[in-house]
Amino acid sequence: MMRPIMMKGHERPLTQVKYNKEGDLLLTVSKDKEASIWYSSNGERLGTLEGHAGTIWSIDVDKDTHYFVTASADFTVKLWLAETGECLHTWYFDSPVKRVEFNHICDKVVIVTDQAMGQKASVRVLNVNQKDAKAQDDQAVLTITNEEDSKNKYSVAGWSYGDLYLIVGHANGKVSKFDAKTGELLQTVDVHEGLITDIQFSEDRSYFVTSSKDKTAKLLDVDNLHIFKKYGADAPMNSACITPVKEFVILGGGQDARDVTTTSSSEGKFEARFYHKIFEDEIGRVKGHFGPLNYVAIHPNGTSYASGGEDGYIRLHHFHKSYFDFLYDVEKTAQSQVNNLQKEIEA
Amino acid sequence: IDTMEEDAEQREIILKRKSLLSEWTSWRESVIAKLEKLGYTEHQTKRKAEVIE
Repeated sequence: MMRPIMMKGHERPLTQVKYNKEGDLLLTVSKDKEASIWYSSNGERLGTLEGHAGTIWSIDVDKDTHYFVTASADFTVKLWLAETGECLHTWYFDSPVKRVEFNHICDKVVIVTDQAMGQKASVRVLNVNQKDAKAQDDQAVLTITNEEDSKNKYSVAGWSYGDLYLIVGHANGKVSKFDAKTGELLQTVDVHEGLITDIQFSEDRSYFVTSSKDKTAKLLDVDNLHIFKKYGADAPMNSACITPVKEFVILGGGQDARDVTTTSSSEGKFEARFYHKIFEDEIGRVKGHFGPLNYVAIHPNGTSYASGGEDGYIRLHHFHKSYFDFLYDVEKTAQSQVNNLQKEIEA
Repeated sequence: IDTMEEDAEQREIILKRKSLLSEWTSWRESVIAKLEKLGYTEHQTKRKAEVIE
């Protein structure tokens, strides 16, 4: 189906992998305190970002690939100049930072701070001064604090279309929608029965997929937080993404090492799983990792996907033509109807 | 009889998929129209299909 490239550059488990908007770069972060930047075409490493003193939980890049931003267990968020790998600014917090994501216009990032060291979990929005990157405001422009018990703490967050809302996943499986300007809680729904491990959006940010330790992933819309689809797996899921071009979702996860009685990779269910996004069927699996997949990411053009594993490896898979050709019969029929209609209009 | 039952099952699956697909397509059309109206189409990047042979 595809040719994998195996990238070994991290000493410890991967925590997140992400493509830039152009798709030519792959960014990876891990528990080894370093971020790596790779060419996505061939898996060659372009450079590393060094400066964090703990696990880097999350990384993002602005739409022009001028800046990287990283969130770490060392209680900091760092802004980096993409061209040189120079650290331009460090924001300091009172607990580990688990997640970071640029908004669409890239003048802000949302971060999730963990509940630890007597601090409550929070979602915060930081301004990013692109004109003078070394002069950043250290204070968050918005702070949403979890006043409920620790089970309700925030685990992941991302921006909706128009940067209007913050979509937040909780440790207890709930998903909340906040007004991104005022921080007002607009809606909360029960989605999963366990920790929400990841939220990734559709290209237009009108819907998103959540993955959870409850062995499922679900598809929700931004407007109503309505659960459209459910994808069932047989192991805890750590990550899920929505593929452009094809109507698929990719899930990654696997039994945690402490729950696996044998080290055989087949026992731990360490595979990337492909589901049909609309029909919810599992279509196929891709083996390779020797431990749970901690993150999966799809190329913005849908031409490849990358997975970061607990085993310290990054696997990069470029899709073959057969992947793009694959359609259900009902999809083929629908497509030919559209094509016929277009021909009629053109005629 | 088995074949007939199988056929009926297959028919059911196909009809179900058809309705799921049309439900999804019409929802997407309504969302795309809404985002266009609100001027949030800049999220949508124009993509040239690039297939690796």
